[in-house]
Amino acid sequence: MKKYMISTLTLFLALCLSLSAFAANIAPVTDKAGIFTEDEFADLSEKAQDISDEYDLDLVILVIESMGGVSDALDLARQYYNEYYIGRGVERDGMLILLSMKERQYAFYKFGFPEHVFGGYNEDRILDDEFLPLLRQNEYYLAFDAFLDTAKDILEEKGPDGEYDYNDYDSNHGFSDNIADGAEKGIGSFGKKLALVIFAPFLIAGLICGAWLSQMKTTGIAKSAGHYIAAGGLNLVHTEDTLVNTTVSERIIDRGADSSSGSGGFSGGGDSGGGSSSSSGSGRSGGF
Amino acid sequence: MSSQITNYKCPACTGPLKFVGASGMLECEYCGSKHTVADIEALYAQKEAAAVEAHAHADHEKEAALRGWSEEEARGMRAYTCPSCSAELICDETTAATSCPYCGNPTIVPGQFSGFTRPDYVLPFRLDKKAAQEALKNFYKGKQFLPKSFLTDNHIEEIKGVYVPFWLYSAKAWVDFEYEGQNKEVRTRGDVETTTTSHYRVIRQGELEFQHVPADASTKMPDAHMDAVEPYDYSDLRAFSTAYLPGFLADKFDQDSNVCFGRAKERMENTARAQVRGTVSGYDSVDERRSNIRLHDTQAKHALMPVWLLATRWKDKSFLFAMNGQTGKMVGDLPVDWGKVAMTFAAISLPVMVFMALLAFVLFGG
Repeated sequence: MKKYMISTLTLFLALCLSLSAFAANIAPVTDKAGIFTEDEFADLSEKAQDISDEYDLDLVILVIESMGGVSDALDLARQYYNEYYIGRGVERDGMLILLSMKERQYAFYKFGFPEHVFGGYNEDRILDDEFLPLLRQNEYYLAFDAFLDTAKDILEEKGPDGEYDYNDYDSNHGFSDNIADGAEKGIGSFGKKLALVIFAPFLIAGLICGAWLSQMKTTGIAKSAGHYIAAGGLNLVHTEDTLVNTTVSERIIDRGADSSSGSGGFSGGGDSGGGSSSSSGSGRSGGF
Repeated sequence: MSSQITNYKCPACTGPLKFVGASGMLECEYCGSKHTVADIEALYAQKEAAAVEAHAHADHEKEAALRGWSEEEARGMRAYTCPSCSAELICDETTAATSCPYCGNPTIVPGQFSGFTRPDYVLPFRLDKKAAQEALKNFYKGKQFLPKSFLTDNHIEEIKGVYVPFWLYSAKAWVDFEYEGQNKEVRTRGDVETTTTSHYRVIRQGELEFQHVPADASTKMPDAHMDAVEPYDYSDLRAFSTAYLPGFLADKFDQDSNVCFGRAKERMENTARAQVRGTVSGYDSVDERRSNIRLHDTQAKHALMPVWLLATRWKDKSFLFAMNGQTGKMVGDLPVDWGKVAMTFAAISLPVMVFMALLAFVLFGG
C-alpha cells in the first residue's frame, strides 16, 4: 500500500512538474528535416526551455520538411499551435517559429502576451535584423540562436511586474523624444533626408515671404460682421448633445511585404504579414 | 430764383467755413473764429430750406439742353451756380458737397440730402489732411517688397476728404443648427486595430443681434477699400446736419438699401454660423447636418462716414489709398517688386539649407 501510494505520488508529481515545465504536447525544438546537429539541437532546446520557464510561456521551434500543400505558412503555424496545445496559462501565452525546408517558408506565430511584446518594431527587430539574414545564408543554427537571444533580450525589457510597458521599453532602450532620434528612425532613407534639407528651408522661406507679401495687399471685401454683434452676444435658448449610437470597426494592420533578398537560391515571396482571422493570435510569415 | 447750393460763410468776416475734426467745430479760414455746428445750422436753416426747394423744382433737362449736353451727359451731371462768385459748377448728379474751384468756398447742395435721401447719421471727420498724408508715409514703412523707386518717385496726385454714403443695417438673426459630433477611440491588440466611434446629435438654437453692419452705398467707392477701412467707432455718430460737410466732399447714395442689403446679410449669416459653431466643443469631429438662419426686425439707416482718399501715380499706374477719417486706419494695394521677393526667398532658404545639411551630417553621418 505504502509503495503504491509513493509510486502514485511520484507519478503525480512528475506529471505536475512536466506540465508546469512544458504544457505543450511538443518539445521546445522539433527538427523533422534534420537541419541541426545533435549539439546544436541540444543547445537550442535548452535555451528555448530556459526562456519558456523564465517567462512562463511556450517557445517552440518546429522545422518540417514540407507544408503538405498548405499555402500559407502562418496558417499552418496556427494549426500546429492548436494541434500541439502550445501556450501556457489561461491566455495560452506562447510563440511558435515554424520552418518549412521544401518551400523555404518561415512563420513566426504569437499568442497571448507575446503578441504585445513582439508586435510592430520588436517583430521587425527580431526577424529582419537577427533571424532572417542568417536564415537566408542557410545558417540555421545561428539564425535560431540569434532569435532566441534576441527574444530573451526583449522579454527582459519587461517591467518587474511582468507586464510589458512600452514607455518603460522606450526609456530602457534610450529612445527619446528629441528630434535627432525621431528623425533618424522616421526618415531612414537618403531621399527623405534630402527632402528635409530641401523642403524645410523652402517652407521657412515661403512662410516668411508670404507674411511679408500679405502686407502689400490690405484691401478686401469683408465677410464677417463680428465687430457689430450687439451686447450680450449669442443667446442660446436650446442646446442638445445626445449620444445616438456607437459603432465598432476592426481592421487587420498591414505589416507590409518582406524585403527578401540575398545570394542565390532564394525563393521569392513577400511576407504574408498580418494576424489570424480570429481576434487573438498573430504573426508574420514569408520566404527565406 | 433761390440757389440750389449753400456756401457756409463766417458770420464775422464772410470767409469760408470748414468743419475741423480736431475741434468738432466750423472754423473760419480767414479770421480763425470758431462756431458750433448748432449755431451755423440755425444761421443757415432758412437758406438751406430755400436751396432744398430750389433743388426740388430745378429743371435739369432744360438746363442740360441749354448747355448742349447729350442725354447721357444730362443724366449723369448737374450744373449749379456758386452763390459767392456766380461761377458755374458742373458736378456729378450725386454730388452733395464740394468746393467752388474758383472762389474756393465750400459748397453744399442741401437738396441732395432732402426727403428720403436725407441721411440719418453722420460720423464727423476726426483727422485732417495732414494726418492723412503722414499716415500714408507711415504706411509705406516696413514693406519689404515695396519697390525702392516707389518711395521716391510716387507723388500724391489728389487727397480728398469724402463723406461716403453707407447703409447701416441692424437685425436679429434666429439660428437653428444641427450637427453630428463624433468621438473616436482606437485600440490595438496584436495586428488588430479596433475603432469605437460614438455619434452625437448636437442642436443649437438661439438669437444673435447685429447693430449697424455697414455697406457703402456709392458705386463710385470701391467696396474692397470701404470694407477694409472698418471698423468705425459708432459712439461718435451724430444726427445728420449739413454743417459737418463744409471742407469735405460728399455724395448722396446711388444704391438703395435693398441693393446693398445682400452684402450685409452675407456678413451677418457668416458670423452667426461661426458663433454657433463656436459653442460646439468636446468632439473629435463635427459635421453640420442642418442650418437655418432667419433675419428679422431688419432696419437700415443711412449714414455718411469719413474717408480720406489719396490717389498716387507711379510708372503710369494709379494707386488708391483710403484712410478711415476717424480712426486713421490706412488701406491700399502696394506694388510688389518680384525681383526683391525672389532674392529674399533665396537669401532665407540658402543659409537654412546649409544649416540643415550640416545638421544632418553631424547627426546622421555622411
